[in-house]
Amino acid sequence: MNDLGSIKITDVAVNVGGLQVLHDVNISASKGDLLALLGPNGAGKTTILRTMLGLVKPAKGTVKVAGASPGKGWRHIGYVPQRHEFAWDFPISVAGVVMSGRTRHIGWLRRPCKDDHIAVRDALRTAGMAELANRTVGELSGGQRQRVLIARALATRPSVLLLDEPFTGVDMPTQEQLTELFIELSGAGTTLVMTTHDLAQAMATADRVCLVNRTVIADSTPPAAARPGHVDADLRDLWLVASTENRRRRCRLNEGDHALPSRLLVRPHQSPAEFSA
Amino acid sequence: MLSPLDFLSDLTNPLLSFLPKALLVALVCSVVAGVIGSHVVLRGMAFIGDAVAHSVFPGLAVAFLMQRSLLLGGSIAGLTTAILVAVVSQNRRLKEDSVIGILFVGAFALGIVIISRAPGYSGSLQQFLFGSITGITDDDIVMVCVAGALVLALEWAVHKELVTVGLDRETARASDLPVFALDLLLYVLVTMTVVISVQVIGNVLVLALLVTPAATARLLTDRLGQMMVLAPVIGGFSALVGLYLSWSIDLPAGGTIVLVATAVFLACWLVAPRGLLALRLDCTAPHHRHARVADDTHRAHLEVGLHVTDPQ
Repeated sequence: MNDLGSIKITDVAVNVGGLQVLHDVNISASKGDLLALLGPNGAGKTTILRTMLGLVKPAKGTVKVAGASPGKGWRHIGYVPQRHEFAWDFPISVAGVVMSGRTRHIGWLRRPCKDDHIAVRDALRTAGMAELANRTVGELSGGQRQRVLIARALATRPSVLLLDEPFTGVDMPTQEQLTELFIELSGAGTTLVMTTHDLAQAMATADRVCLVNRTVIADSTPPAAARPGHVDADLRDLWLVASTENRRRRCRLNEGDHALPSRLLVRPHQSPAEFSA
Repeated sequence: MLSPLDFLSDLTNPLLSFLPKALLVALVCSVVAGVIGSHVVLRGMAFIGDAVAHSVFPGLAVAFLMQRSLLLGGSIAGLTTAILVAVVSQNRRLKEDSVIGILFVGAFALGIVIISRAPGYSGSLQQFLFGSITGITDDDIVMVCVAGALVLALEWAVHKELVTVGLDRETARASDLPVFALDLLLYVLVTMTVVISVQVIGNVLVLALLVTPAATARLLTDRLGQMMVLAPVIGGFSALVGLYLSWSIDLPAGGTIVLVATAVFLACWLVAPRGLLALRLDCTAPHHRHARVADDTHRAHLEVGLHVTDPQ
């Protein structure tokens, strides 16, 4: 059963519309990990999440999430998309949206039973939305909307929770509440993977950071996890390089150009020789 | 002009037996269209609804020529067009609305060419395009009621799945829901609704039955369940009043029903909670909903330990 919280992505390459957007991606996580996929816009972070969900088929490599192949593990995977994916003008209550997360679990031709209502109530409570359960979703603020989407994902009691840019466009108090919530969830044994382009936020929240730009450039256990506020200088350097490269519209970071600093806490996925060659 | 009481007596007059039949068909269609139209309005697929409505036409024409079931012919044609739209719009160079525009007008043109081969062509064309309250047979009534009940039953069966997909397609797909199949099913339901409504309302005007009552209901409520009750009620009211006006001042039934529905929409748009008048009032007095949002923000700040002082 411990397998349910695990993620193992091995040598994955993904093509979208004939273009290779990801190559040689290796990511693994185990039960209770809080992993951030950090990278600039267009680095392929969302594509990694979509690959985990089985929405994108990898051109090569293997993907196992919650102990199952993509598309098979849906029962144990929760997904929190970016907020603009959701139809906020729909005439529905917060509780109704959270219940919609259980649609597939309830099953065809069935109505929600007692257990479904309990799951929805628990999810609303965990996400801090219990008081707004009967509010129409269109009336919510940005931070509240984010929490509704999280509650919807939690309503299926997932072993793995995938979040796409959960911090984008929410204010500081909400960011802090979300960070607390994520740490609480991972402490309770849920495996969390979130994408972000905010280095400081990733360092403050996650206990592991994967730097992504078309592939996983580096995978680190930052000391920042123990000392919030402190930013790993070397990871920051790599991050700046990745962002700059991206701005130059080069398809991938040319690892050869940048030898890794010696005191790096980063654990490269490729052999170190490849980085410093 | 007839009084409503005269209308009632005409409805029960055995010599005018087509009148109650037309009313029954119009009411059944309004109820079905109100429920299905709620999905159409909320998904912003009015244009697709229009496309399906028009593309039903060649199927009706063929069925009419071959003396076969209009429902079957129309459904096949509507569904074929819907699938073609879904397939052709996979081509990334063309946007979906262009594909819809090309295919549905093409299908409609095909229908006109086909029906021109029929004897008494202009009469039947007019009847298809704008509807007619005469000539509804008992078989038609059975067909409309059975098909209407089937549409409602199917909607009821997959209601929560349709809502889940309508809310967020990506997450629905991630949770193993067959999004494409559900889309197709919704197209089928729209097609069937259109086909049963064609006889009274007409092919060109049937979109109004799908969209107008549902949009009116949306103005009045923030809950889908209420919307799906209000839309059929508004549609049924429009059908009743429209048919009465049509009969008493000798106007075309389809057009009159749609005009009544449009008038109801405009009235609600003016006086609804979020209608024009409410918005105008909003400018002068703070609306209670805004106050509630402010309350939440206040509470959120308190939760994180920030002190919020009221400006005094």
